[in-house]
Amino acid sequence: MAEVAEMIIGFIAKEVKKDPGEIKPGDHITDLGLDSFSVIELTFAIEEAFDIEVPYNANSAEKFETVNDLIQAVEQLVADKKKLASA
Amino acid sequence: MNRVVITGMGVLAPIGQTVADYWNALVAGTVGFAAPTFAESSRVNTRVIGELKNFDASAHLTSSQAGMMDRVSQIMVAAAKQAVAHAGLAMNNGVAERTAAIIGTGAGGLTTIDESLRKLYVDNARLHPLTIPKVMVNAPASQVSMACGIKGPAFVIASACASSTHAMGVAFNMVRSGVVSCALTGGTESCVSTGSVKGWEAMRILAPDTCRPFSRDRKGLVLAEGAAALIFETLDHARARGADILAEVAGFGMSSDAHDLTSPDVGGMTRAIAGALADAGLSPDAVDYVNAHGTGTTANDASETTALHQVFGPYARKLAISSTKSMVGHALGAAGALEQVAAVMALRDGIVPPTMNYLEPDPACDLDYVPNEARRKPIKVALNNSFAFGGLNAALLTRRFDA
Repeated sequence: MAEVAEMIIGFIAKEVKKDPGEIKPGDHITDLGLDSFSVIELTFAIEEAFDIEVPYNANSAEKFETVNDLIQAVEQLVADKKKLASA
Repeated sequence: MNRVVITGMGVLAPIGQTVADYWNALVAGTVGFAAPTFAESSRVNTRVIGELKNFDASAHLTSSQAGMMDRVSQIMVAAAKQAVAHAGLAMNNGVAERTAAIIGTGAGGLTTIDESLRKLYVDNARLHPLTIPKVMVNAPASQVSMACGIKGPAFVIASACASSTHAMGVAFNMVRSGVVSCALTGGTESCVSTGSVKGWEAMRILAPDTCRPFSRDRKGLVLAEGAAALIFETLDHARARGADILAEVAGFGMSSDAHDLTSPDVGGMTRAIAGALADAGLSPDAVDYVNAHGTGTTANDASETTALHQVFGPYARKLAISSTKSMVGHALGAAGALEQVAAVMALRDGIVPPTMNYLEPDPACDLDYVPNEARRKPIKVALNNSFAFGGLNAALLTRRFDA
């Protein structure tokens, strides 16, 4: 699911106005310069693109630390959705 | 400058639709949340919300009056009529012209917008001829002026979750300076419609379980609808007509963050609270009770705690602080007025309403939040905080009136 990673990095790059090549999977999300609003917009963009619901609440203790954490969580949600569709 | 006193109050909240019922419910720690029942509510994920159950417009309004109003105006007029009756204020002998109606609301006629756009886009139907006058954001002030016969300055103030506190602050200054002798002030919000709730869900700050202000595992806010009205008048005017004086308005402060659209800012909060103290000429240690903004979001409650530390210093630990949003929910533009009614009752009865649903301390929220049980405490001065999305802050100080 390399395309998931590519798309998510693209979304992040758009939010922080950087070139996608500058964003690495190991980067910490808090270091990328995403403000409270761009996190919400990023989540929305991901949900729209993959037709999934990301269980993200701004008040919840679970936060995605790195770009890779986010990619893996989305890949899991996409896989779960496919499983559900074929079941 | 006139001294300004409060002589009447009215309230419609999820936990009570009169001042007495509301206050008794707050002192008892009644939490007013339930699953939504509004039109199309099966479309929302939210399972906890504060609705005005069994609100009967016909108990307060004629059918032709009610038909001209969105719910946001209906509940405001109902609260306003309670407050005018409570104050015993008759709009005769020139009083009407010397009375203002300054009302806070965040979003206006959301239920009508929801119903109208559904008719238009889904049913391909025509819109009701009164759509615009029901939706216009000034409607609650216009309807209050008509229903109560108020003929002085009347308008709506909109600053999201601080709307009604800004409205009370403006009303306070108008009465204090002598622009008017009396003001009906307060606020209203009816944000419990499908379109509105979906918008709040998209912001991802609604609690899935309940509202737990200042508690470590708080998960966000619970939306609510409601309205509250207060009568402010000059001390001279109140005395001349022999009115029962409930409390005195002591000072008002406001500020803006110029920072972030939705993240709270300690500096903005601090400037509003310190501004209210300076306006009242009170030292921080004069304050006994704080009705906090206390939304139950991670960010607000921690920032508000830090702001209280900054303004009050070591004395912050002696403050009794509570968030009545833990019981009422967050009624946005009505919140400040609903909380002001609670603060006035706390001053009168010497009882601090609790912060309900509190489970365990958060290191970032290390003050006395009066968890889970009301407390007897003599209160001379109460602070009411409201901090809005958009970085707009307001703080109102009231004190016991001892004649």
